[in-house]
Amino acid sequence: MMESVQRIFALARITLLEAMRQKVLNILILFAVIAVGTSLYFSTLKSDEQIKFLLDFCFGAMTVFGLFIALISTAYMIPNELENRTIYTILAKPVRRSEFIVGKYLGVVALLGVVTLLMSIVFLIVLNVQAQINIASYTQLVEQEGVPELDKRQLITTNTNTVLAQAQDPMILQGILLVYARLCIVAAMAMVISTITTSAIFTVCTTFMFYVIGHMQGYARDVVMDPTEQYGPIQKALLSCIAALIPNMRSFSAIDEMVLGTKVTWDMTFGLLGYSAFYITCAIALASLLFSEREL
Amino acid sequence: MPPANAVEIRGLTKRYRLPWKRKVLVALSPLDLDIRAGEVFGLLGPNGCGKSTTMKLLLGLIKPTAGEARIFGEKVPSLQSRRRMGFLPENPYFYKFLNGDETLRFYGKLSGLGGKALDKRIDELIHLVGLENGRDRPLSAYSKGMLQRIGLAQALLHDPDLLLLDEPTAGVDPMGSRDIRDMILRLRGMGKTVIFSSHLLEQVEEVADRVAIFHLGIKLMEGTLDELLIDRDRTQITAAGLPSDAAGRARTEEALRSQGATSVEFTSSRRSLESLFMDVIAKRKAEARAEDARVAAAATEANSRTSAGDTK
Amino acid sequence: MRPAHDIDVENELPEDIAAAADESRWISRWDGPWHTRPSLRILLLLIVFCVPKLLMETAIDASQRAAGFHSITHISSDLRSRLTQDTLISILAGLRGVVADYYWRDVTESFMREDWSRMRSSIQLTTMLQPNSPIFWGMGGWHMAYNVAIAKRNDKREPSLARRIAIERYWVEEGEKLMRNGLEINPESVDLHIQLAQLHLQRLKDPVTAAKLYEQASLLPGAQPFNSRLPGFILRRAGREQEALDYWRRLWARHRTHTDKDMDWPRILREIRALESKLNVPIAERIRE
Ligand SMILES: Nc1ncnc2c1ncn2[C@@H]1O[C@H](COP(=O)(O)OP(=O)(O)O)[C@@H](O)[C@H]1O
Ligand SMILES: [Mg+2]
Repeated sequence: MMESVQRIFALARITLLEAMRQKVLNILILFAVIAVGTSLYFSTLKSDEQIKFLLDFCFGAMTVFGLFIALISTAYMIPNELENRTIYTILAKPVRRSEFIVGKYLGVVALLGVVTLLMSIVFLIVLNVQAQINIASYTQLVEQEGVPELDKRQLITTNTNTVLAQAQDPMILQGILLVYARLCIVAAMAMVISTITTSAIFTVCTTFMFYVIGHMQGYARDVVMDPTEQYGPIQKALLSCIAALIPNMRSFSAIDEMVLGTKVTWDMTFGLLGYSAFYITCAIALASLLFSEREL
Repeated sequence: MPPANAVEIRGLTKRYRLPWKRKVLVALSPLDLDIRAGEVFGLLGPNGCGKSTTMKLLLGLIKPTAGEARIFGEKVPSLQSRRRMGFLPENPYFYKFLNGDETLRFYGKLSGLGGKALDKRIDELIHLVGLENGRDRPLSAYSKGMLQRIGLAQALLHDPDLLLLDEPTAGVDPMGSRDIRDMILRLRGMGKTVIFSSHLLEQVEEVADRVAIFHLGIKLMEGTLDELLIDRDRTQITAAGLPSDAAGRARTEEALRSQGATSVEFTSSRRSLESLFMDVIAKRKAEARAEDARVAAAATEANSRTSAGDTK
Repeated sequence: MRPAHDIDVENELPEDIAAAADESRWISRWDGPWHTRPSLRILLLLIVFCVPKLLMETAIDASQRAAGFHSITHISSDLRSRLTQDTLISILAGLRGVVADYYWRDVTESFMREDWSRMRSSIQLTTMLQPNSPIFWGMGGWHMAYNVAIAKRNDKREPSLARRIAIERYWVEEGEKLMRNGLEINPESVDLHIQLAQLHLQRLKDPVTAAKLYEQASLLPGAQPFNSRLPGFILRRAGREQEALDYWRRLWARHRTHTDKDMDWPRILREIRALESKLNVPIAERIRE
């Protein structure tokens, strides 16, 4: 058991190390540049709208960059191992196929963790700098308008409080966790698909398609769970497959709801994280079984 | 009591379905093979004859269509059997972004080693395969021979009793190839069982106790080198200083015929190209060393002269 | 010294063996196993896995519906357009905010250039990408019903006045439709209600609907108190005195106390009294202070 953990850890570590040494993180510099650029781009909007858009954009950009890294690093993992023949030396050691899959997946999860963390730091810095700029420019505006002294205080404090409440909302942390969970789910899907195909491009495309369908999985589930729905047997079978296999990506719209100002409780966040963990566990178990079958 | 056979293969078969050809390729016809513990066994045959297939089947990298195999009585594929096997694949590649030390550490962790024991083992192996200069270099900067060495070190990490070396000398220069042969002999000295494959026969002779010859997935013959190679009816005599003129040869032939020889053939002894190559290189190296020593001596002399001049 | 047996196997293999081996290598019958047991394990895993998965998803959906998540509560009846929207949003992953903002800029630019059809499609794209921001619905509808409609009315390239008026009317109605769609998705938006009410009042000359919309707006959280007086004034000015009085009575009944300064109750009471006397409401039925 301990040995198994040690092997999984070694595999995860090497996967993370590979990504780091191959300069995957350079992409984060791009993220930082875009995040800063965008905050300037949005400066035409009203000040509280501006913070809202920046939040929306940053979560979006984290998802896009994260998706890119999750898809590429997972989809190319097994094909690269096969092409470089490193997999032969690894699996010739006393290593189980399932340990290989779990270790490699945990490596991707760690990589996504590092990437999400770094992006979050950039994101929070940009957000708070923007908030300070907004507060400063609003204060200046109020000073120039010649508002009575008492009201002036009042206006400035109110504005400062609303802007800071938006920029330092603890819900942002929940949002970041959910973005991370979503990326881990996508990586798990890619892992399953890459165990049964040989083409990385195919894995990337199929996973992305599943990700898109995942946003509509709810409709398929409604049809399948509702016996009164009238559908042909083929449609019903297809919808059942979608409902059973594809994760419900729409539930992560909780991130968008936060931006809109809907209250998202920690209970809901933990519910979603639990769901993600369950889905990932099953997906990785499936990937292990499929990979054990595979000829190398 | 440990089983006498390191490897027992019974009816092991591998076929590949090629759907687009609607045909089945027999990569390995039902194979029966026993390999005794402590022996060096050569799998010989041209490319595509099923050598790698046999090894991959033993390791569980591919699944047999039929048949079974045991390693030291342990059924394959299994974690237990792999604990006792070390594998050097054909043209091994490792993670290019790691250096030699990190590579061995990674494989050590996979083999269940760790801590001080692993550190010690890595030092031993680096020394054993002679990779001291590659420890801190990334593998992307390794030569073919160095990759083969690190591959061998990696296969030996968990001190397995059985080594599977797939084409260990392919693409390696004669010096490296000689080193690998020496290594195999040393391993035999340590009591290990070694199975290696090759499509170059001359190397096999020097190290293998027994060989099997494969062709198109079928084992054609199997036996010790002596069994396979010695022609009991003919004796080769190598002698130095015999007269090489016709009269001298006639006298020698007569002497042999008087001992019962029915036919006598004379050829000048010929050494193998390889042994010539090794000699030439060794000689050149010795010369270079002598040259270096001479240059160094001259330099010191010149130095001492100029420094003596400076002090004036 | 090399023995004479050092041969290349490939070349020196006896002909008959090579031929036999070659033939035996390719066979056309597969007599290996067709499937292996683990396939069953996979199927089992899938079945065991999908039940809790579906249950968890249903529970999450229920909790999100209870929390009033827009993505769940405002499912439009048209599944096709809903699917298109979902696809677009998920493909843009999270950049939809930026893309929507880009199209909104395009709305302003095509307005400057008086490129109305382009402006309309940009408005539609913006609202599709950011359906939960009432500001885009409201501004988009305002552009159509006011700016475009008036520009069309004054566009002398169309010589017939009657036709110009018809075209104006068309654009006003388009604007109204857009705002209605926006209200369907954002029923809580005070601003959108007021904008639509103004449109009905000013452009469609429909004070009754306008009054109804103002009333709805006044019932929403975050409404300004003066909104709740507007329907009464609008209805009276339109000559619908009975309806105006009915409205004031509803408003009066809704509030337990009538001292709130913001509401300007004395003024409301004056209105009520004027209407009551004008409509000859019997004393017994008049509102008591
Ligand atoms: N995955 C595969 N699919 C189809 N045929 C294969 C596969 N792997 C190997 N073969 C075939 O099996 C035969 C034996 O291959 P191999 O054991 O690698 O030969 P070698 O003796 O050179 O190592 C070859 O003809 C090869 O083409
Ligand atoms: Mg081979």
